[in-house]
Order: sequence, then structure tokens, then C-alpha cells
Amino acid sequence: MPIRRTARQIAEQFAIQFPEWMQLEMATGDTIQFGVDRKALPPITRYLRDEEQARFIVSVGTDRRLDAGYFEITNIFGLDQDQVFLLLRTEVDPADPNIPSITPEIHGANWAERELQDMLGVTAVGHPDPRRLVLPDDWPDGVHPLRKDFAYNQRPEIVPGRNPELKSPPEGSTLFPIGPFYPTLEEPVFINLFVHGEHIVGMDYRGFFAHRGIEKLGDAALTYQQVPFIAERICGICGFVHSSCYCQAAEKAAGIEIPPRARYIRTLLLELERIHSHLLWIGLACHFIGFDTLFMQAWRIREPVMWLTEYITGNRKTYGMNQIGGVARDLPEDAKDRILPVIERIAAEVAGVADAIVGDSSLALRLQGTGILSAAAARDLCVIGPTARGSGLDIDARRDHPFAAYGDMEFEVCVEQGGDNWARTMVRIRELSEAIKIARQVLDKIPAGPVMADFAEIPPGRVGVSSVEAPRGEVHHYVRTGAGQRPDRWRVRAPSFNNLQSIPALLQGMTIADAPISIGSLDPCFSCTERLGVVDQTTGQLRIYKQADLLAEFRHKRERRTR
Amino acid sequence: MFRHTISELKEALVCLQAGQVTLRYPFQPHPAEGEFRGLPAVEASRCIGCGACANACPARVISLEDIEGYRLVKFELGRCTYCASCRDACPQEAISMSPMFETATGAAADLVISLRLKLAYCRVCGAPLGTRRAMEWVQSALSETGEYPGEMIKGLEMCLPCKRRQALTTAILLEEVAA
Repeated sequence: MPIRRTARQIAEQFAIQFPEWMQLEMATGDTIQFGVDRKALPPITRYLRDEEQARFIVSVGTDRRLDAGYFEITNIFGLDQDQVFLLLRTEVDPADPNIPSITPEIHGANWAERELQDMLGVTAVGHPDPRRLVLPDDWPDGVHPLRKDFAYNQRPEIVPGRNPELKSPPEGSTLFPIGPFYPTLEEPVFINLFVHGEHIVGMDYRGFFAHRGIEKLGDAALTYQQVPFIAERICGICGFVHSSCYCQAAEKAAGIEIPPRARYIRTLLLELERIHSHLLWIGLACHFIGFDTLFMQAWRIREPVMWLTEYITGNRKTYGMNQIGGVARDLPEDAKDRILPVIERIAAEVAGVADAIVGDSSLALRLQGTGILSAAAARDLCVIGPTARGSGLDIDARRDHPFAAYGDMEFEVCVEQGGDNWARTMVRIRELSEAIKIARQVLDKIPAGPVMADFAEIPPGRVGVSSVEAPRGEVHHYVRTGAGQRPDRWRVRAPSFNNLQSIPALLQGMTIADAPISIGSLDPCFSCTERLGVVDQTTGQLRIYKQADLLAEFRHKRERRTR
Repeated sequence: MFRHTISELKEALVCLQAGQVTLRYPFQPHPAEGEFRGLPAVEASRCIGCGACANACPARVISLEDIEGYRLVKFELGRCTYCASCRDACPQEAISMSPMFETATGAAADLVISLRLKLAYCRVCGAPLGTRRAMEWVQSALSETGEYPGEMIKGLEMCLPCKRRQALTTAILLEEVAA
């Protein structure tokens, strides 16, 4: 383990390394910002990748034509060993809105750069796959919703009859479309598998059918303290991570120190959320390979967590607790006595289920050796959370970029080496007991005191970034404060944004029946609208599978393998 | 094979220990407990129509409209997110969060709460000033302190331009008297 450097030291080192390329703009706490000329982006990215083992997090594009006369592109990297976020800020002339693409250097930047092209109209030159990603296919060219001259409620004239640009299957392979409503995903998503017989040889993806424009609302219609409520609704399973992350980023930007008790309350709720999310995933993963007994039992064990959060916050899911400056409500007075027995019982039941899963030979047959993501691919695609830890990457925002009260907690970062569906399952099972351990520590150590900080108005023009380790991986938010009591830019990077990009690598060489559990093993959000069409390309015949047919098909596979 | 049987036995044990956990809902009611935030309830007699709730509401559920001598305060709760921001913002404690969560309905109007509050007008020019209740509330709060002359409290019944005009005329009159 190399020696940890401070933000100052790193800033000085970079300034010596690249004197003509990088201008230091900010080095505070855990954030360093450099001004970088756009020409220098690819070589600096290469250096960061090879010499610093930096992890690409996301690109943020801001329309600053009104106050500064340029588009601002900020590429955010995590220097995880130093617990530092590195921001590379590039100014782009609106007359020539181009940046050199960094995707050839780090493939995890693929979607982030395509999103820049769609939403801000800044082209990534040299991008290997510059097709439309976020905007609908019938959206007119040249209209970019994150530009400030586009109103949040504006509806442009649509271009009718335009279809998604999809890749055609390689010679000799058959097209196997899944979607546009995917069996195991909450989002409507369209995946075209290219198959040779039963084996997958490639794929194409079209998603973002339900893009909600939440970031635009945040910087055009809502106020600082209203954003946490909509942030919480970004995800239906792990919403608290988003409101926490937004609040932390805004607090960093404004220099607000929140009371210790509020930090502990956030930690407690984040861990309760992880417990119920992982149990939900275990249940659904079992469901999709036809093991419904365990599906029911995992959800039964999960339910008391929902009751607990309802008792603590007033709601099962959307807690409405986070505000910039702390939390809106304190814990109830008898919190410790109420919460401890429940989590102790869950701990015992989780141990029972884990014991059963580990020894189950049919689960092992379905999960071991399927959906393999190598450590090198995981690093290149910048996957995070259990997906990364299942492939042997030792990263966890709770340890690498401490937030809330995690600095005071003792816990293990669960890493498995296999890279397959089994490894990702084991990571989540082990994390359940770690989450229970953290919840216990919070209840033991929680300090008394206020839960909201006093602060004056939030000054405009400040930048804050923050990460939160969600059940699915690191959530990252970027806040640039603005005038008029709302952010000038609020960027959200959910973990599935990175993890979904690893699907082609996961599915390569697998069979069709392994696809749902492999994609499901990333724990993207799951759906209840289930329908799948299979087109035989040679005959052009279409067969529509309903949920029941599809499940029967997947379960049939299990029976064949166990036989 | 033997290992397989053991793991299946363990799984059976997990199920047996659990027993039946489901309720015969809705035949067996399952009320929410504690500080559960359900459908907001509005105590109409306390509302002064100030609009603090409408400003605070992140979901824009609450609207204010002045028509025909009345201020219409409307809660369209079909979009409510139960965040309780309105309750926390209300200076009159007129809003509370009920434990009601069974809100499914065939008629959208079931989820609308409307209040009608009489408007107050400037006693000089007749321009609208806000609700009568809000004005009376401010007047009584001010007179309770005993620190403000009755004339000043009465002055609240005028719009800003009329107040200015009155203040100016008084000043000019005083000047004339002094001269």
C-alpha cells in the first residue's frame, strides 16, 4: 500500500509533471481541480490510467455561455488510494464545440461522453461509438436539453418515423432481441443479442427510454432544499443514497459542516437500505433461475427492515429525511431498543439463508462460471460496487472516500476473485453481515446533539463533488452552486450507468439462458413489465414470449443442467 | 448428492421456522404506526391562505388562485409525495400528516382538498390585499403586543400605493402647517 498523499501534495506533483498542461484551480479537503486544455485530455487520461491507477467516474458538462462564454466539461477521476477526487475542467469554445474523446483510453467513459453529445451538444471527436444514447430517436438534431436556453418544460417538434440506430448482427448469427421491456430490469431497455445457436457472440443496447430530465429540473425549477426529495426518487430501491449524495456535494460546495448526530443517522439509514436492497436482490436472483422458495424467504426476511425505516422516518421507502445541513427528523427516543432486536433477528436469519445458498448445488451450477467479468475488463469499464468487488477490485467508497460517519466505523470491504455470477452473489451475502455490523456500531456510538446545522445562504459559483457507496456501487453527485437558490448544475451518476456498460463483456460466449441472471447479477433495477419477442431472421417469424413462457424457458435450462 | 440433500434440508428448515407471515389484508386491517406520513389533512378553520405551503411543496401539489372575492387554496393530492414540507412550513399548524395510506380511488376529485377564503380589499382604492383572515390575524397579533398605535394597525387595511400617498399628503400638510 503506497503512502497516502494529501490533496496539496498531489496538486504539487501534477503541477510539476505537466507544467504547461494543467493549471491548479482548487485543492481543498478531498477535491482537486485543474484547468486543462482540451488537447491535453487524452495524454493526461493515459497518464492517470497507467501511472496513478485513477478510476474514471463521470464527465459533467455545464453550459456556462451566459456567465463565462464557454461550455465547461469536467472529467472526474477517483484517486482511491489517496481518498481524493480529481476534477479536470476544460473550457470549450461554443463556436467549436468539440473535445477529443478519452473513451479509446478508458472504455468506461463511453456513455458519459455520448451523454455530453446528446445533452449539451459537445462532440467527443474520435469516439468509437458516437450513436445517440440518451435522447429519444424522434428528438430533433441540434436541440440539446441541458443548454441553458432550453426551458425545462419545452417540447421540441419531434421528427416522426426515426428508428434507433442499431448494429446489425455479424455474418451468420441470429438476432435475439430482448425488450423494449426487459424481463429483469425495472427500466424499459432494449437488448439485441447476436447468437450462434445457443451461444451469444455479441450484443447491442438501446436504453434511456424513460429519461425523466431530473437534472434539468434541479437546475431550472427546484430550490436547493427541494432537490433532495426528487433525488430520493431517482431510484425506487436505494433512493436515500441519492439524497445523501446530493446533500453532501452541496454541503461541500457551500462549506457546511453537518452535526455528528446527523452523520450517524445518515449512516444508519444507508446501511438499513443496503440490507433490504441486497435481500431484495438475493430474492430476485433466485426467482429468475426458478428458485422461488428462496425468493419468498429472502423477501420475508427483508420486510422487517421496511417496517423499521417506516418507524424511524415515517415511510417505508422515500424517507424524506435528508436536507442540506443534516436530517429533517431525529431518531425516535426508543430507537436503539426497537432497532437492535430486529437487526439481530435479521442477522440470524441471513446466516441461515447464506448457509443454505452456499451449499446449494443447483444454485452453484447456474451461478459458477457464468457471466464472467475479468479484473482487467472491470477496471477498464470502470464498474463499481459488488460488480467490481466480485471481479477482485478492492474499491468501496465507504473506505476510499469516507462520508457520513463511515470514518468512525469498522468494517470489511468484501472482495471475491471469481468474477462470475457466484462471486457477485457471495460479495452481497458477505456485505449483508457487514451492513448489520455497521448498523450495530452506529447505535452504540451515536453522539447526542442537534441534527441540523445552521448556515447562511449558499454562495454561487462553488463546486462540490461527493460519493456514496450504494448497494449497487458508488453513486456520484456533482453540484455547482448558482444564483437564485438553486444549483447551476447538478450531475448524477448512478452505479448502473457504469455497470450496465459491462454487459457485452459479461455475456460474451455465454448461452441465452445465462443472459438474464448474468445481467441480473449486476443488480440493475428490476421490472414488473415482462415481455420478450424472438425473431427468426431466416423465416421472419415472430414469437412473443410472455413472462410465464420466458420463466419456463429459463427454468428448463436449470433442470437440464442439474440432471 | 449428499451435500445437495443437506442444503435442501436447510432450506426447508428456513421455510418451516418462518411459518405463515402474510396477513388476510384487506379483511384484516394493518394500520400504520408511529410517525407514519400518510395523506395530508388540512384544518380549514386555521388556514389564513398565506401560501407558505405552496412555496415549500417540491411536487407543486398546492396552488393559490384569487377569483371573485375569494382565494382558492387547492391541494391536488394525487401527486403528493408525503414529504411533509407543507406541514413544516405552515405558520398556523393547519396541516397535519394523517396515517391514511389507502388512497386508491376511481374519482380524481376524492384526492382534492379546496379551501375558499374571503379576500380583503384596500379600503381606499379597492385593490386586493390578501385574505381577510390573514389581515385580521396580523392585526390581532400586533395589537396583542400593545406596542403599535391603533392607527398603524388600521393602516394594514390599505394597499402600499395608498399608504404611500397618505403618508406623503400627511407630510405635505404638516409642512404647510409648519410654514
